[in-house]
Amino acid sequence: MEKLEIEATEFSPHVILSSQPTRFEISGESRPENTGRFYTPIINWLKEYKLYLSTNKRTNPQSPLIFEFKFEYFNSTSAKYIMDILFELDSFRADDYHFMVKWYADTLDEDMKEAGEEFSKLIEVPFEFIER
Amino acid sequence: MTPSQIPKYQFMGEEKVLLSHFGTIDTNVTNQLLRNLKENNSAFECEEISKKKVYKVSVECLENACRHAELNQDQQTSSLFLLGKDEGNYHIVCGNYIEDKGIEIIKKIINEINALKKEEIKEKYKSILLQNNVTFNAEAQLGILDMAIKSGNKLEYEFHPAANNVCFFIIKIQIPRISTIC
Repeated sequence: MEKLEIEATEFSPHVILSSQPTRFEISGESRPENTGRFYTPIINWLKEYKLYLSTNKRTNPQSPLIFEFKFEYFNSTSAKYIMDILFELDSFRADDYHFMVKWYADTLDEDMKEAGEEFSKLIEVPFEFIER
Repeated sequence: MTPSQIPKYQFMGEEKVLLSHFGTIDTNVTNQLLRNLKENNSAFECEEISKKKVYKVSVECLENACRHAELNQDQQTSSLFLLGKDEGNYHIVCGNYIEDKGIEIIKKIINEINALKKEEIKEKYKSILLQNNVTFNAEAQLGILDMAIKSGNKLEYEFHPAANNVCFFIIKIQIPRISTIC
């Protein structure tokens, strides 16, 4: 499956979604001018990936798939789409594929850590919190 | 009334002004102001936690001004953004024209948020995130909730009457100065 890579700008994050080797990461600042247009391809890619895994009858991975969020900042509009991504990751469980979220936050950014904690309460996907 | 006619002391007292903008707030202006804020290390020396909070609240203020500003009697979207600091706090003041019919809606949103405790504000924020379709107003509400969460303070507001069924809406946010080891 073709990977999705979006280069970072001053106000939108770097995105890399790859099935082979598996790598799922969003990093940087997120306040795109058109948030919906930015995040829709990411959500669509995940939907396709779920289909790809089930149609190719891939063996369920022994270890969970790791999705890394390394935000420096995201605005409230982006939060809505981050929530949609997390729900999408959660939906993989129905096909017996399991994601795990690694949520990175700067040591001095208590709000970023708290935001991750609040997101983690809304879905079943396990979170690991990493200070950097 | 235009922002330039409103004396600065109405928004800022004895605070040191770090950043000010009077005029249209569009995407370019927003990006330039945020760039200036990011690069201003001397004003936030040893206060990185506060700087991050000021940045986050500023984004929400500027984006709201960008998206929701109405034209004034001169058919301009004249807005204002001020950032200052005093001994205990950073102060953000952001203003833009809105239609008079929006006054009661905004008052209700802010008064409701101000009446909530921190955990209740977070719950309200999450409840909007969980809505299937976030309306234009709910999006603005999300931004205001975010300002309250990040600042940890009550939000102040003013409405200054203007002509042609519009008024000048001002929101004021205080963010405590938190010292960190540096």
